[in-house]
Amino acid sequence: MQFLKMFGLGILYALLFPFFLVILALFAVYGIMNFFIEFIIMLINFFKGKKLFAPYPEDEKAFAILQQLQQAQLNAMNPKPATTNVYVQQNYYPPHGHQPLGGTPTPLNGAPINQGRLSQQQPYGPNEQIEPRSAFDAGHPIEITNQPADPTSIIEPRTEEKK
Amino acid sequence: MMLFPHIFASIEMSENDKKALIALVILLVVLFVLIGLIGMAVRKTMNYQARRADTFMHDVTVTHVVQTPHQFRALGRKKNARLYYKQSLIPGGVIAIGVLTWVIYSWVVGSWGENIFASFSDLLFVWDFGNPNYYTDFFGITILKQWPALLHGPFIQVDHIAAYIEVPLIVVGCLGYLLVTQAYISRVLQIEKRSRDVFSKSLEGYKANDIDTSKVPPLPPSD
Repeated sequence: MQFLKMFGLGILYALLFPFFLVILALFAVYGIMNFFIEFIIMLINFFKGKKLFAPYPEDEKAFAILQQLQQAQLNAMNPKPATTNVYVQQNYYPPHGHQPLGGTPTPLNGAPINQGRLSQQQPYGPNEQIEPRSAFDAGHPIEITNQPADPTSIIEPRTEEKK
Repeated sequence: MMLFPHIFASIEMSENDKKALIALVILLVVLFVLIGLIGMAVRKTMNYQARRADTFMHDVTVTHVVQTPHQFRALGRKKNARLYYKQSLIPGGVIAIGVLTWVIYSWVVGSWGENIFASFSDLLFVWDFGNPNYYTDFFGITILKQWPALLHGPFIQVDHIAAYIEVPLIVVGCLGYLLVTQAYISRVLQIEKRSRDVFSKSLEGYKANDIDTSKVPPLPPSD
C-alpha cells in the first residue's frame, strides 16, 4: 500500500516538478534583486552609523515587553522582605534635671505611683551604714568659685619637668 | 469499454518486445517511486526550513506587538527578505569567486570563448550518448537500445586547469543559492499560513448556553 502511495505521489511530483522549477527560478531572480536592495539598505545603515542590520521597532517593543514580564515574574518569585526601621538610641545619659529612664514614674498629682505597694530596693552585701566620703556623695551642693584659693597651687607638671 | 479488447487483440508483440515492455514498466514504477521519495524529502526539508519563520515571528506575536494578519505578513515579509539576503551571502560569494576566477583567467590567457563546462568534463566519465546507433524505436518512442560505449575516463589537461576550479565553485554556489531560495519559499508559505491561523478564533464545539450566566446575562429563549 505504501509502495502504491509512493508511486502515486511520484507521478504527482513528476507532473508538478516543472512548475516547481519555474517558481524556484522566478524566486531566484527576485532573490538577486532582493540581494541588491538589502545591500543598499545595509550600506545606508553603515554610513548613518547604525548597525548593519538594525532590529525592527516591533522587535524592540517585543523585547521590552518580555523584559518587563520577566522582571514581574522575578519579583513575584522573590518578594521583598518587610522593611523594619531601626532607631539607634545613643544618648544613654539623660540631660541634667530630666527623669532618667526606668526611674520612679510620677503621676500628674506628684505622688509616686508605687509608693506603699512595692518594697524599697535594698543593696546587696552586709547591711552597713555607708559613710558619705564627700559633700558630693552626701548630696550637699558644692560651691565653685571662679578664683582658686591659692593661685600658686596650680602647677603645670610638664613645665616643671622641663625645668 | 468494448474498444480496449479490440485494440489489445490487434497488437502483436514478439517475445523480445514483451520483455522490453515489462522492463520498461518496472523501470517507470521504480522511477516514479524514486521521484515520490525525493518529493517527500523535499517536503520534509521545506517543513524544517519553514520553522525559522516561526522563530523570528514568535516574540512579536506572543507579546501582541503584531495584532492583525496584515501586520504579521508585512513584518514577516521584511524579516524574511533580510534573512534571504543573509543566507545568500555565502553561495553568492562562492559564485562570485568562481566568476572572478573565470574573468581573470580569460583576461590573462585570452580564452573568452572557451566552454568551461566542456573543459570540466575532462574530470568525469563520459559515455557516447550522442551516437544514434545506441537507440531504437519502441512504439514510436526512441529509447536506449544498449548502454553506450565509454568515450573517456577522468584525465587532466593543463590548459583546462582554471575550468576545474571555476565550474565546481559556480555549480556549488548555484546549488546553495537554489537551496536558500527553496528555504525562502518555505518561509513565505509558512508566514502566509500562520497569518491566517494565529489570529483566527474558533467556535468549534462551543455552545452559547454553556457560559456562566452569573457573569453574562442568559440568552433569550429560542424557538
